[in-house]
Amino acid sequence: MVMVIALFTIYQSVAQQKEAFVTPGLLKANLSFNQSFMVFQKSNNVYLGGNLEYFTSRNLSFRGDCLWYLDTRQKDPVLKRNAVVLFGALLHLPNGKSDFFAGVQPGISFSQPQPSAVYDHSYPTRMMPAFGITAGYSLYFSRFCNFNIGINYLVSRYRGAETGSIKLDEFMITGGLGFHIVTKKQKPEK
Amino acid sequence: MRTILIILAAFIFLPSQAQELKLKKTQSGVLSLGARSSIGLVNDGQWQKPAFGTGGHFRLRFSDRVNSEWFADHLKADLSYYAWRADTHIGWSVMYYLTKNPEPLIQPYLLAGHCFEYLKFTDNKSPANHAERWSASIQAGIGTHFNITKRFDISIATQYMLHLGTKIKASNVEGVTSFTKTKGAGIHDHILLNLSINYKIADLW
Repeated sequence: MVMVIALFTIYQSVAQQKEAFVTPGLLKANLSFNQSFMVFQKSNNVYLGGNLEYFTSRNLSFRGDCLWYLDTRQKDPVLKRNAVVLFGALLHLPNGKSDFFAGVQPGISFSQPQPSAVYDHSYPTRMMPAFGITAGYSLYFSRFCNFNIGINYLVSRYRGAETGSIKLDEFMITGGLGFHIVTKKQKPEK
Repeated sequence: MRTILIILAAFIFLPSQAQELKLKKTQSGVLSLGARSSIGLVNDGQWQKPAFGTGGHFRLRFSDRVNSEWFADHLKADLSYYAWRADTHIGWSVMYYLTKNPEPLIQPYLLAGHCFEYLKFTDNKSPANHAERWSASIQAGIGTHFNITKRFDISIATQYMLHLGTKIKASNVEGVTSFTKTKGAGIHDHILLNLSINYKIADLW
């Protein structure tokens, strides 16, 4: 909550500065930790997340995300291994140094749940379809760096458990420092 | 060295894609790439659990009102509580646009086409116990593009798919799962829903 208020205050203070950071050809990269909350399981997980994003216009970008499961905050974890790869499009509302965005990302996950307590049976790692809905905010505070926060809802199922599938949907929060460069020269305004 | 060359090529290629797509004549020849998520709805005995999948496609447009979509999907679903199935689709559809305007904000279309499917059933408790088959299918349906920009659209589509192939029956008696294939060809059908994002990358002719 404090972070949201702080970012809103910063947004208000910089919104009037119309220097355009989001331009066609902008290339962004980000590496951060993602805190996840499993929707159908009692588990809060931590992921290492990275993404690479390219802007084809001021309002549209394509972004690839990779998420690598690190650990859980619970004593009995649901997952043993999990890696997710997503690729999709994001729509942006840039305004000076600020940029709100939202989008969808189809993808795949490589998941391995922990052995079940009932059957004491280890599961193989399986490739499963995944789907992500993401939204967030970026603040471009310098020529090469930005702050960002984001939320993500990830849909995923592990098929083939003893009693059917295991729902692995996760709600994620992330934020941190990102880097960007402009790969295309802007045409001078006429 | 090879990696560096690929990265350099990407830097040269990507900025060119940020420009507006210049059409040579009409919309014919426009090539676009897309990623999609799919939901399969089956109403056939044991196969009634919905499938969820991911895939991709490219589109090649033949005229202002006719487009084609070449796709591959991979879906997975539960098969009752004792097994699961994986469907891989590869196929193509022709799309006919219902509006004369070649680039409206909302662009509904009819579609029909052909598809091949690889289907595999796997026992939950014993992955070595599985059955598989290939089938051919026809599909038809409706969809619409939401043209967000000149080059980017979000599309939704629903299609009815009719598969012709060996029928596989699954059963679980006293905890033992078995799969049996019937002789000859059988028919099964399902609905496939798609949500896709698409970007026009070139006008080929």
